[in-house]
Amino acid sequence: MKPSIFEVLGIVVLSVIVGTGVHTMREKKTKIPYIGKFDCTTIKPKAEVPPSEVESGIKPPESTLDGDKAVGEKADGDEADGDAEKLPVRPVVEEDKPLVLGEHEINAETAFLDYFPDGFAVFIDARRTKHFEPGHIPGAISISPWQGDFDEQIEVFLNDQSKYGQPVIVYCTGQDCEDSHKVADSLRGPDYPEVLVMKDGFPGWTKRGYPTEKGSEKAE
Amino acid sequence: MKTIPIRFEAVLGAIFIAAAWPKIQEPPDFAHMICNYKMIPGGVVNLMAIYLPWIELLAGAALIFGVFRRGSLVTVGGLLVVFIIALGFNLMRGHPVDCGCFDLHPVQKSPDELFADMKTTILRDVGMLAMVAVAWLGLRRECVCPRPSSETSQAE
Repeated sequence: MKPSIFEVLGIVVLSVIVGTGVHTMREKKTKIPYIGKFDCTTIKPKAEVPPSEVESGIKPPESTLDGDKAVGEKADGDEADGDAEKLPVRPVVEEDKPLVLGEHEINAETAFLDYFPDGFAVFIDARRTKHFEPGHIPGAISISPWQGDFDEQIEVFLNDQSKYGQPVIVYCTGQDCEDSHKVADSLRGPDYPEVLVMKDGFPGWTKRGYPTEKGSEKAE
Repeated sequence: MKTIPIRFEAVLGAIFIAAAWPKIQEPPDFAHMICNYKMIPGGVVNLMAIYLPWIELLAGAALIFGVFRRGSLVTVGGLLVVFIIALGFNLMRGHPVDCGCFDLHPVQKSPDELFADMKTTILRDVGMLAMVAVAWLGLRRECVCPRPSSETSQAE
């Protein structure tokens, strides 16, 4: 049995050497710090909210309804990267699980109607850059907690006095995604008292047919 | 019959390499997946995301190339046991997780679908553990070599 233990140790040591070597050469967006800092042991308790406060299903706006096209399908003439584009919408079957909103959480409809017009709020996309680039909320800033430059980007954002006092809406991939909360917790403070999480995330936004854009804007 | 354990080693090796490759390419996504299991302290998650895929890859490669065969079988078996425990524990406590075994960008699924997937994955891992056991037994049989016979010493 002893030789196999030495062999296992050999594999582990070799993995550490190769892994460290490769990791030091990685570019920023795929590099993570060796020691993580997020809480990965606590399961968020499911919010118990009275039925009257539970959002059920997703209702697409009548005005943008287009039954012939699927969600995410491009309309003819949509080509310019970086320009705001309107995704065609199909009627959404109300099969999504009810959206239970907790403290500091809003849904995509509220985000669009109350916070999106005229750049009233700052939108932050907490998904990885590779998910941000193909489509995000127009004007959103990409800050992913799982990328190596997370702390740097948070610092840049917190030092940008031009946005102080504006509401901040953070979103990621939907209901079970906790990344938006990680980003929101890092931003909430005296300079940004209103930091909200869009609970249904980018899928909730696109399902309602709200505008999106492509591009790779980062925190300035 | 003798080739079966060796074929199992090659299959296991290929599976582990296929599983390791996407994780090596995207440590942030793999760290996210590990964090979703809600079992590992945050400080250790990134270390696991950086090194675990390399252990999978090297153990898989060792199985394919037939080097460190015992060690790589023990490593692969140990990893499978860890995966089964992690999935089983979350299944028991009702916390749905995406396995993140091969695909780090799975489609969004409902908790019920995730629970069904977790059960399937546990069964698959148990099957692979059985393959490890067969390969291990095959390896032990290979090592039962004829002892230096007394005939040799008598001839001398």
